[in-house]
Amino acid sequence: MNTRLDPGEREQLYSLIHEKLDLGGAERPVEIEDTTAVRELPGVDSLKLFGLLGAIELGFRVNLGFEAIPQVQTVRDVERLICESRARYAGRPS
Amino acid sequence: MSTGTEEQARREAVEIALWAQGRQAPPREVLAELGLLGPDGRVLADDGQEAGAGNAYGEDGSRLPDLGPLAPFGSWQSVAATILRKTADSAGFDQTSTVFDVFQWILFEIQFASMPFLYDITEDSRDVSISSLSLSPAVRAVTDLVGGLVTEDALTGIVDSIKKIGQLAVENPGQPEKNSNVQQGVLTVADGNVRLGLLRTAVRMEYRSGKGYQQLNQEISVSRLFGNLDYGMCLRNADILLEWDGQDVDDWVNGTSSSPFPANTSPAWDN
Repeated sequence: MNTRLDPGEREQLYSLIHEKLDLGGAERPVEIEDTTAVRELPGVDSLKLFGLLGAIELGFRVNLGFEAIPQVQTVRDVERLICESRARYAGRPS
Repeated sequence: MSTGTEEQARREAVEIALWAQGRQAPPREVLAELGLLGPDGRVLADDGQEAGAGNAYGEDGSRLPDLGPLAPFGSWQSVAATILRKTADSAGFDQTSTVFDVFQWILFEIQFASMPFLYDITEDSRDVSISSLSLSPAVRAVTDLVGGLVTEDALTGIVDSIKKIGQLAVENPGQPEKNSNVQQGVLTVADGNVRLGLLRTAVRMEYRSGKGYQQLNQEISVSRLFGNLDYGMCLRNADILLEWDGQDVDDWVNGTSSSPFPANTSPAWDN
């Protein structure tokens, strides 16, 4: 199973993270990397994380579900969850 | 020869009688052509389907016409609720059941749209994407479709009612993946009009062990069917309406499959 997004999709993911976690307006923009701990980003709370995962479900057309929430520690975890969902639902009608 | 008024009355009575008798399911040959008969010749069960219905009422306190010969109903709202009961009965549609019957489902919409007591009927829809963690697009679609037709309180009641249907869908046992057919009835008084409405959509859901049913990522179409109660038509045909099995608004609101359920409290409704 492919567990990585292509570069364009990774950009889309990083952009969503910036937008939904309100990271774009900071004077010193937060740099996102694979190992970035999502929950420790400035101003992030459970509601913002929930909002991010909802936007990812719609933006990437995947099914993460509520069980994904405790699994998210790093940006890499989010990417893995997207890929796992795609693999699980591959071939099924969207 | 009858006068124009008498002829109009006769034709209205015929129209109401034709509507009230409902329609039959298609003959078996047609069902077979539609692929709705199984190898044993029986109508295929809708195993992966369920129905969830809710009704909501709201009013702005605006003044309505005198009831005249309809006074035994006590209110125009009860007149409307009685007509809605006849609509369901004539379609064989049981709003208290979660069993989905495609004929009754479609017949009810046909009966609603062809109700002789409605005018200014509006019918359209909105397509939105939803997912397990994001249901607010569905709420926005409903707000967009009915926001201009009902009061703010009524809109809140409609959304709450939809959340009750959501709870029913989460709790109602079924296949690992099921299609929940959602119907939200609306009865509202606004600007001196009694408005009757129907919102419908279908949501695919998946059972996840330990988590219950969750919505799959999907595009849904939320449809709206709304019309105003024709007071003149009701008054002219009061004798017919008074013969029907009556119901008041409370009976109508509380007589659905989702009525016993609390509103679903998932944070996804706000996301």
